[in-house]
Amino acid sequence: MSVHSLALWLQNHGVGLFLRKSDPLVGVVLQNFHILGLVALLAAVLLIDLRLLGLGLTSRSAPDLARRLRPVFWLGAVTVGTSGLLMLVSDAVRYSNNDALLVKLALLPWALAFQLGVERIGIQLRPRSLPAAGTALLSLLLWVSVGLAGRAIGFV
Amino acid sequence: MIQEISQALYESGLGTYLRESQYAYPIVEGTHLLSLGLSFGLLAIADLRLIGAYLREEPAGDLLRQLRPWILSGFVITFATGILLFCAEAVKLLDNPALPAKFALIFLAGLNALWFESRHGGKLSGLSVPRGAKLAGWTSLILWTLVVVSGRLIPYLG
Repeated sequence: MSVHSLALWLQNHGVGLFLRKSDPLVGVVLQNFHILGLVALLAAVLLIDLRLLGLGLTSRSAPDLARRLRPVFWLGAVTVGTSGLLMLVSDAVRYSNNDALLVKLALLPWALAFQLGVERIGIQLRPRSLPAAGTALLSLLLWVSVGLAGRAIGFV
Repeated sequence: MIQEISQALYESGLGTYLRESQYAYPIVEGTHLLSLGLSFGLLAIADLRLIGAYLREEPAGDLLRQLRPWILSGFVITFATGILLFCAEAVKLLDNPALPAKFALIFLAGLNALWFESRHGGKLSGLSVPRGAKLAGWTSLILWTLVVVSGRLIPYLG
């Protein structure tokens, strides 16, 4: 099955078809949830990274802060992911031809894997140490790249 | 008056450059969006603490003191890029109802922040939060959420 036929199938069946035929307002609402979810996800990522750099919330230990921020991260990730998937299936053919979206989808697993894998080890390291700071900077770079590629979807 | 200022901004070198460049405009817009994580994102964390919904084990004053410089730097970036976007699109945005709504909401959110800072800003101590500060937290959360939503509506109402 080619990407095109999969995309065509997605937008002509089930949720994709439903959203496609629904009021354009539904799309606007999804866009807003996508941004607000992004704000929550970024806030959690930023606070962990600032902690690893020794620049913010130093009153708490990094592992403790990361544990407390996990619900914020997941609230953001689920909101941004669900709204994103719904937007994608509602207009799958057009999106599947959008290079910015392909870049975003290629970067996203790396950012997620880094956050859930490497950063979990990173928070155990001594904040401000070279490996901890490197972990924080890479995490920022990955999420900023995902975000910029996402914003570019509307421009290409 | 507003019409003339917008026209001047639109025709200014900066406005024209941004509008016509292939990369500068999307980069400014991307920065405007991502800086929200720092500005509204961290502010929302502080607001959630004020209303007692999150990080209740942390004294609100301590949290605020540590987050304030980051929140303010975030808003500097968000506002600066927002002004650039306005310069690029000023004339086209004048009859867009989402924009005055957004400005009015930002003004109210700013007043709320000034009131909170003058009344409670440096005076919060311990784990409990006075009723007024709690109310300011709710107001901030609601107003800034509406600011983001009205901003996202700009392309739809243009």
